[in-house]
Amino acid sequence: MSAKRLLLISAILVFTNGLFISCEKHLLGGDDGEASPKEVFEYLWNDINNRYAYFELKGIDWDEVKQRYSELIDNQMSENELFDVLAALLFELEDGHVNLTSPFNRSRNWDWFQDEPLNYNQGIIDREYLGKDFHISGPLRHQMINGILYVNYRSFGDQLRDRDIEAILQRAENARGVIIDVRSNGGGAINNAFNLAGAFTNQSYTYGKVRIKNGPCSDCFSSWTDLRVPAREKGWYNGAVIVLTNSASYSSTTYFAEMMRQNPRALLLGAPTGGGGGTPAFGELPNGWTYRFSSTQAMTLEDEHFELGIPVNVRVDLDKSDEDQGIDTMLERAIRQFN
Amino acid sequence: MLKRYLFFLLFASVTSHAQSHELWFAGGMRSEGLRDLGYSPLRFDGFGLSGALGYQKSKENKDVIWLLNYSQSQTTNAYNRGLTATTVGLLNLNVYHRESSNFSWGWSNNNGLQHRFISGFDNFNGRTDVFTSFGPAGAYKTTFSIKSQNFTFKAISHVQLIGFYLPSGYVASLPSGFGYEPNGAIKGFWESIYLFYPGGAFNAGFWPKLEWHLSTGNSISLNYLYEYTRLTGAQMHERSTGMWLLNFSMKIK
Repeated sequence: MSAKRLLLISAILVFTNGLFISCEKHLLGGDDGEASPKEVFEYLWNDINNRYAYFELKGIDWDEVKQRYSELIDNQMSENELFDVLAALLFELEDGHVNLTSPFNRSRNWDWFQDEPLNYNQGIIDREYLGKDFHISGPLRHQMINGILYVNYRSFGDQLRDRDIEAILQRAENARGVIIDVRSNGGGAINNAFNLAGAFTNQSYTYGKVRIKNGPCSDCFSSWTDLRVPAREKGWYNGAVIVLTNSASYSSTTYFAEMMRQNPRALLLGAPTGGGGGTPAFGELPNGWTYRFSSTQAMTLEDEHFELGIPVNVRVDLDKSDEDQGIDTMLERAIRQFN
Repeated sequence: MLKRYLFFLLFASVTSHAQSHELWFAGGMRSEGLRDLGYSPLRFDGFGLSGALGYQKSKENKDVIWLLNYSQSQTTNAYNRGLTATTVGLLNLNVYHRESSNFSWGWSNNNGLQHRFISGFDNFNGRTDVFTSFGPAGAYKTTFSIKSQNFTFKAISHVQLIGFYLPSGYVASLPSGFGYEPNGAIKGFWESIYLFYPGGAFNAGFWPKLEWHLSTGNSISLNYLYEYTRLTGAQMHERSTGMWLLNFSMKIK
C-alpha cells in the first residue's frame, strides 16, 4: 500500500467533509433571501387561516378579509407600509392575543378594555386602602380592612411562590373573608392562576374545558379536555372569597376568574373580564417578523367561551362621584358583602 | 516488501475471519441545518458538540454496529432568531461481506429523538420528533499499511424506508394524541403515530471513516457522519446534519 493511496483516501475524506461543511444547510434549499410583501402577506394570511381558533365564534369571513387587504399589497411598498396593512389585517380578528411584532413596532387590538369603563383607580387603592403599612408577599400586596384581608395582584406574569400564598393564608386565618383584586391584571402565567385558586379549595375540581387546533380545516380541533383546579396540599382557606374583576382582567386572569366562579365559596364582583381565552401560539414570517394568535378554545361548564369574558355574580362599576372622593365603589361593595 | 505483504495478509486475515468485539468512544462537533414549519418557514443553521458510544461485533462474514450519539447545536436563522437543536440517535447496522469483495450489503435500523427549542416564543416553544425506521445499508472497506502502520478506510451508507414516527402536534408541543386529548399512554401513542414510508418521511446517512490500527489492537479513527431527515407529520420538519467525530476504539475480546 503506497503513501499515495493513503493521501488519496485522506483527500477523499477531507473533500467529502469539506463538501458537506458547506452543503449540510444548503441541502435544505438556498439561503433565505428577502421575501416580497406579497409573499409575506400570503404566508401570514394562510397560517392564520389554518391555525386561528375563533373564526366561527366571531363570525369572521377570512376569505373576504383577504380580498380587501390583498388589494393594498404591492411589492414596491415600504416596510412600514407593509406593517400597517398586516397589522390592520390582524386587527380584524378582534383578539388581544393577536400581535404582529417587527423591529420597529408591535401591533395589537386592545378594544376589549379600551372601549369599556376602566373601573380601577390605582391611586385610590394605594392611598386609601393599602395605605403605608401593607404587606408585600412576592407579587401580592395585602392589607387588613375592617377584618377582611384585601389582596391586590397586578400581573399573573409575576411569579407567585408557595411562600407568598402561605403568607396570605396565615394572615387570613382570623379574617372575616378575603378579597382578591385582579382588576386590570392583564394575565401572564396560567400556573400562577392555578396556584392561587388552589389556595381556596381542598378538592380538585373541573372549571371548564379546552381544545386545540390540530389541523388546517376550520373544524380541526382536538377533543375537549377538562380544565381542573388543583387542590393545595399544605393548607387552604375555607372562608368566603370575593374576586374583583374588570374588562382589563384578561387571559390568565379570565381563567382565574372562572376557576373562582366555580368555587362555591367564591363570588365574582365588578365587571365581566375582557376574555383572552385562546392560548397564544407564535409564528415567524419569511421576513423575520413574528406574530401570535389564539390557537385554543376554552369553554365554561355552561358552554360559554372564555374568549367572550367571564360574567360576574354581582355587577358593580366604579362611580365617578365616589372616585372623586377617593372611594372605590367596587371594593366598598365587596367589603359590605361580608356584613 | 514480502514482509510487508505477509503482515498485511495476516492483518486482513485477523480482521476478516476472527470474531471480535469493540467499544467506541467518540467526541466531536456537529454542523446543523434545519427547518420546522411549526415555527417558521426560515432555515436555521449552526454548530454544536457531539458525543457517541459504539459497539461493533465483527464475525467472519458479518459486522454488527450499534452507535448511540448525542448532539446539541445552537442555530440561528437569517434574522438571528435562536433555536437549540438536540438530538439523540441510535443507529444499528448489519452488513454481510465476502472476502472477494470490498463491498458489503445489509440492513439498518435508525432511531432518532430530535428536540428543538426556539427563543422568543412564549408558548409551544419546544417541538420534538421521535422516529424508528428500517432500510438497506451498504459498506465499502479497504485496508492498507504504510511503514508498518495499518489503516482501514470504510464508508457506510443507509437509507430508511419503513417505520413509524411521532411528531409534535399541529400547534402543540406534544404529539397530537397527548396533552389536549384525554388519552392514556397506549391510545395517545396510537393516535400520534405516523407511518414512515417513502414520500411521507425520509432518513438517510453516509459515514466515511479513516481508521488507524494501533499495535495494542485498539484503533483511532476520524469519522464524518452525514444524515438527512424529513418528517412531514403535522408540520414538516427537515434536518441536514454532519458530525465529525474522533473515535477511540477499544478491543474488548
